[in-house]
Amino acid sequence: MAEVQLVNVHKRFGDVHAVANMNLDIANQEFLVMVGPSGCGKTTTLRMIAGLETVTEGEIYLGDRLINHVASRHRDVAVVFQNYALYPHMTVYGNMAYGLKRRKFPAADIQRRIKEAAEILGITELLDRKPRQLSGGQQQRVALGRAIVRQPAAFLFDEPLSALDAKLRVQMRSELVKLHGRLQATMIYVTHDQVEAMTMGDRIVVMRDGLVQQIGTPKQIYYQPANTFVAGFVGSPPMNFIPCELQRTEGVFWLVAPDLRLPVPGELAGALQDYSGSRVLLGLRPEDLHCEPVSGSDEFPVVPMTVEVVEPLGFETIIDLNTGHRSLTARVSPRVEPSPGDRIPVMLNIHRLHLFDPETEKRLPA
Amino acid sequence: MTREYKPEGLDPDSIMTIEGVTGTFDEFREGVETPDGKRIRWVGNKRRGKIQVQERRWTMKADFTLENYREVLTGGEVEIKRADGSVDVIKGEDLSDAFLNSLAVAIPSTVIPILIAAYAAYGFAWMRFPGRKFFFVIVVALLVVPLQIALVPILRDYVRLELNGTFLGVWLAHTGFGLALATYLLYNYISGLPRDILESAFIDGASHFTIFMRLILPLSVPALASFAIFQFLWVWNDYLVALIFIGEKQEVKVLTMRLADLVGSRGADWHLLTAGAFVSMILPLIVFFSLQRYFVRGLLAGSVKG
Repeated sequence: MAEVQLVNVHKRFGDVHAVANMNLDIANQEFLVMVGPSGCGKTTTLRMIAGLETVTEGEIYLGDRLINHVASRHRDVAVVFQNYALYPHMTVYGNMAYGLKRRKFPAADIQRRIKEAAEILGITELLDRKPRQLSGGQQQRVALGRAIVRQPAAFLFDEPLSALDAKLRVQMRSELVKLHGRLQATMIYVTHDQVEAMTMGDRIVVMRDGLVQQIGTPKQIYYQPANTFVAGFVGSPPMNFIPCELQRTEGVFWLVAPDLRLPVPGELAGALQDYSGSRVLLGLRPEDLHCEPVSGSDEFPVVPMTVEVVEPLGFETIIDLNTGHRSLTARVSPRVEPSPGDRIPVMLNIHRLHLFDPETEKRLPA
Repeated sequence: MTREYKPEGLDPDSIMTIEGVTGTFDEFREGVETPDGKRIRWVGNKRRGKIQVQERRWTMKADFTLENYREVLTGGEVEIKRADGSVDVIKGEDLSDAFLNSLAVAIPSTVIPILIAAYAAYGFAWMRFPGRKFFFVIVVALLVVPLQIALVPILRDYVRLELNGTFLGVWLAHTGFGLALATYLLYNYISGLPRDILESAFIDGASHFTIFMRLILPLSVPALASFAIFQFLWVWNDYLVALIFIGEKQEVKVLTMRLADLVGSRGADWHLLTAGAFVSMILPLIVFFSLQRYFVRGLLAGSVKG
């Protein structure tokens, strides 16, 4: 158990700057998720912590120890790979025992640890089998088991669930969270799936093109995205963006677009003084567009829109709307059943709006 | 099939009719063909000649014997019973010695290059060192060098080192000639093994050497076996390399060389040549049929992933 610290870490592959100036403090026993589109540098960061890639510049600490030049096998970290990476010619027991044998643990100790880990994961009856005789979910458990028996200072997960089918993925997701609660270990988890990030992480690191976009709890990431990328990446369906102009009339700020005119709520107005007259990007999450009255909705501005597509998902309905100038997506309760072509009044929850600078893409007010 | 009889009641100076065909004496001296494919010849002179009827027909001698194998294999003397009951004592051709010599050449000449090439292939595939690509290109380039080019210079060095006419010399030659292909084939296979598994082993605390011994070798068995078959068959059937580096040393000669000698010394004795040829074929046949699943799988090894 230990904290992990990255200080000004850079990674370059030739001309490609895969990870740029990464600073990260991962607390002891924290479950940290790194998320981003493919090629954003999240896996490279994980591999640098694991010692599978060299660090071009900067420092990585595990506990108090600088581990830049420590070989993987002396780092006391365990990695669970996307494709499990089980040794195909060894039994499940052999797979789990291998790391301990290499570290010269006494046989009795190895046996005890494997028995414990197998019980936690429910794979006790599989110990004599070879990996190819196991299903994907079972192989994943063995890969987890191989990490658990080592009792490492930090667990590193490299998209461990992406090779599983959807149902198993949901199940393993909650099992991993339970496992984290039980082991109380530091875990670093890389994924491109924002749902995994939101549901599992104590904190989330959102990355793009080698740069950290935002570090925060799932709530912070969702409700206060630091820029348009984070806002658009997290949440499904993604946030609606509307370019507007910020105008001030009679002491009230208005967001003006050809098809919209929305008052900015008072709590934001104070911080927006400097932006009067400038162009901004308005962000509204699909669930903040309402087609039926909710509590407080009588204050919301109403905009008439045309229904284009209705996608009932059972527990909710996704509606594509058109204002005449742009398409917007709304997530509404399944009780709302408009037909395509209907013109309906849509209430916008302006208390939950997000504003971004269209140039820097940063959140406003800064 | 040939049958002969005395011409009775025929006048050689006029036109004759024999077995249904007619002709002059001179025509029969040359041979006359009957419509059903027989050939009638007059053998000898006019007064004391014979009529010979030659006929092409498949025939078989049904009595089965392994005597020929005894005769080619043994080095000592064999008693051969002839069809008329007489017994001949003949010195055997001693191919069993040559068979053992061939084994003594082929097995080390297969194992040594595989061991070296597997190490090299692992290094080229998974270790980072300066000049890795350059050296690998050189190894691949050596594939196109025909071995005949190297025979004379190597033989000169062997004479100086007194390696000619020894097993060690032949082992080294076959190792050298096989190494480029072996390295290339094994590289293709080993570099296709999933990276995750090796990295996982690194994190589990394995060094390059333990990874090679505990992971790479067991996982590469299909590729190793397929190359082993190739190399073994090639060395077993090799004549040129053995001829040059072993030369006239009787006690070291391999099977192919002794067979060639046999063609020279007993060229007319087809019963010995066929028996000898079968002796030289039997081992490749056994190797092929017992390992054929690796043979087929191995040909694809490295070409397609998974």
